[in-house]
Amino acid sequence: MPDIYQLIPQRPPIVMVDVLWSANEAVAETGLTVLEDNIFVRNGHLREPGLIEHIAQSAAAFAGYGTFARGEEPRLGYIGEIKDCQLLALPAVGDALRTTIRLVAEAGGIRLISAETKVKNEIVANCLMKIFLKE
Amino acid sequence: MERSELIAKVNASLADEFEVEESIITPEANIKQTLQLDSLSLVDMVAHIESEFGVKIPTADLGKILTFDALYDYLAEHA
Amino acid sequence: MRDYYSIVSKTIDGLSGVFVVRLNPECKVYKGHFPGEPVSPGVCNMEMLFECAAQVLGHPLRVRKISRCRLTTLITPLTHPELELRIGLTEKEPGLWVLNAEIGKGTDNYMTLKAEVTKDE
Repeated sequence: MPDIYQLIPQRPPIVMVDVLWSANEAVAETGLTVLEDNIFVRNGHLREPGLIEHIAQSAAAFAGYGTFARGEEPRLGYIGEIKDCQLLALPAVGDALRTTIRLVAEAGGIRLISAETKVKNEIVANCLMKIFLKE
Repeated sequence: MERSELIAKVNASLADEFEVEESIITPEANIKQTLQLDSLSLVDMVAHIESEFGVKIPTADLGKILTFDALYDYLAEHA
Repeated sequence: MRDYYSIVSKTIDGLSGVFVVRLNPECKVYKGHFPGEPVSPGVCNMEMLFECAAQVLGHPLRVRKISRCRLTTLITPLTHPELELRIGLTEKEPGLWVLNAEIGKGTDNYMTLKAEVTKDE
């Protein structure tokens, strides 16, 4: 699997995904370990914006896997919409997040994905998200 | 499925999903304008069609489906 | 996100508020988002909304659910240095509020958010 920096356009201090564990056309799995110096950590927990950005960048890594396979640079992506997002728990520093991204549909340059993030097999967040990918 | 049955089913499900009156869905009407789809919601229509009718519309084909009539034709061909 | 924005003015009336903010183009987040092309991250704009909503409620917030958030305009600190945040909270049940918020300028709307929040312990 390529290095995460080959799959996403983001760089420090706002890298919110460590690794793409697996990917095919329909599903991808990513990981992130929450560190103390994460810019979205407050009082030992990853706050809501950080959880959401982790999901967005997991979707980016998933798309980036496709562009990497074609020998291209990762494309810039922006969150277009978030729907039905439940933020059930805020992960603690040291927790390892595991996220599953499913591609639901794609049209007009927008990727609609569904995401589920777990920590130790408990769901901490899920949502539908639309990512707009720049040409 | 008979074409008339397909049309009825498509109209009912799109009207429900996009919260418009079924009566404004006519064969020659432009889909984007009638359902008030912007660039963000076009993908919702594709997702809805796939989930309701099991037909995936690739981006290359989507550009040619401008009216509801074109959509009925596409579904009749691919369902 | 430290030093992402500063509040220029705020008007709070009950559970509603309007905040005028300035985005800081020197914020370190732009080093990585993206190198050579600064784009204000949607989640930082959301964080800004949550912080201002917390000021309206008078208590830090725990965001439980985002029913819908639409980001219709790309915001950068250079193209959109000054923004208006419009915040409204309604108590849905004891201890649970619905947050309706918008980021825009004048009649332009860049982002809308509907969320459910509780007080953060």
